[in-house]
Amino acid sequence: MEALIQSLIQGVLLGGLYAAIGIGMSLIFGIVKLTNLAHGDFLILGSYISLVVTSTLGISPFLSLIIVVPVMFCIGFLVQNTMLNRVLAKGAEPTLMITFGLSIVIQNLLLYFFTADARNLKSSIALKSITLSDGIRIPVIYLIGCIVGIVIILVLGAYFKKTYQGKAIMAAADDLEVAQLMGVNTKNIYALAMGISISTAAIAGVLVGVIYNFYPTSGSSYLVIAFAVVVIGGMGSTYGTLAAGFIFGVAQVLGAHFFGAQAQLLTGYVVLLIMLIFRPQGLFSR
Amino acid sequence: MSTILKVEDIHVAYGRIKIIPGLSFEVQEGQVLGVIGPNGAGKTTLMNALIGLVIPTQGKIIFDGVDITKMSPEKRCHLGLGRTYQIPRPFEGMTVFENVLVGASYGAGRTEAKARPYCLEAIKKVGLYEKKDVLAGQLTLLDRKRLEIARALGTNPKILLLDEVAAGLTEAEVQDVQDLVAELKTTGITIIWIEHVIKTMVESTDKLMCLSTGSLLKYGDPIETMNCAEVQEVYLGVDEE
Repeated sequence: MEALIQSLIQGVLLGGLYAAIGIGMSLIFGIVKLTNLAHGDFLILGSYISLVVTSTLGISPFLSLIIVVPVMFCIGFLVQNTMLNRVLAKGAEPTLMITFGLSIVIQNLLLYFFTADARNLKSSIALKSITLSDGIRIPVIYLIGCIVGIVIILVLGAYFKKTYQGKAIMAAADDLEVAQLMGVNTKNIYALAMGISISTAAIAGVLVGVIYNFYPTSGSSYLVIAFAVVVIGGMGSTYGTLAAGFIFGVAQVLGAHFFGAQAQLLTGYVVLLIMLIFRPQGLFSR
Repeated sequence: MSTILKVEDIHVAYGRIKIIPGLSFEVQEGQVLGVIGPNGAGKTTLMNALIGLVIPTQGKIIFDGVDITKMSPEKRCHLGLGRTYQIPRPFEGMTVFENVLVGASYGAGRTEAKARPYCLEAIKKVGLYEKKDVLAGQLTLLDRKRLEIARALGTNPKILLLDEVAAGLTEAEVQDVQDLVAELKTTGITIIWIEHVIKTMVESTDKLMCLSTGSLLKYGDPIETMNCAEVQEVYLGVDEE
């Protein structure tokens, strides 16, 4: 019984991290109607920038976010403004091609500068855990990951609801043409949204960088997780992403609990498949 | 009265299909100009060209002395062009107030704090004050049309373009809209109003323009325009004989 409870706790905590991984992708799909195939690579780019900052300044990976997040925001803003905005009117294919190209470029740049060696972000927190009973322990880093995921989503929800900049983003997401007629510079708004999206990916990148080893090509596996979370939650739904993160995380860990560690990924994607069959629009999609 | 809008021989086409094959007219400041014409006459295309959703292939649009022919819709909004849609397109997940706030801040170049009183004023003007915190998606058709006008007013327009605001409304509701337009006119806003309801057009406009296949058929006093034989033939299907 304790093992099952431990698995459930682990699944929920993992789910919060998955939500952090997927939220940026969901956001940019909901606002710009763009599928960012480079989302996972931006996440890993965040891990590598954090690696550079931590090794240069000797600070903790979490503190490095003070530098990593603004840098990644600027990268996201520039990518949207200089590349993606130019082709938005031409349909979905050109943006898919550009983000696919960006994915390859980021991976190869990382290979060039950092080689294919495994890296990780060193933090003493990675080894700490809170013991609830003999068989139930909460790994602190997963707890932080989960809390960060929830906080990101709550902050974004409040930003869209409470700030007038957030309302302009929502207006552009709802009806681009009308937003333009209301004086909203939609291209700037899109760039802002991409900046926010990539910033959240960078935060997730630092978290996964502390938990797992990463390589220049690790982005692909996080892209798949982001896809799964976004599809289950409903593309563009902020709170759906959070719920989907928990469902995906718990499904994976319960799969591992009942069928062995090798079934962990399989169970998660079976849930995704079932979801696609019975509710292809996702849980929270309108 | 000075000229606030000058349309000089504009040509508008969608691909190879020419919708407006050359159209010129002027609008005086503070005037209510009605635009009528049968379906396919190019009324909405004209509206889209004025607001910047389509760019004329030829000709010029001069607004308040500025050539806006190739200007983006948001810049035209900043200059003072506001528009409503025939089928209201509110941001459904936002309240009435939030809907107006977007235009009142971004469109009129105000901070959120400065935009708030203007939002409330626009909402009061269209009679939606009691519903300012209601989600736009829950409004009735008349209220949605009112919201369209409030949202455009929030952007502080010099010219308000109304696209069939009376369509789908009851006679009493149409009268409400007419009263609202009359009130707006007293504030000095210039109004260009596309409508099919002839009675409303004759009663509420200073000048009436009839389009047919994208060309100007008649421009002048509303009664004079409606009495024009060509207008009656094209628009009402009444033969000269």
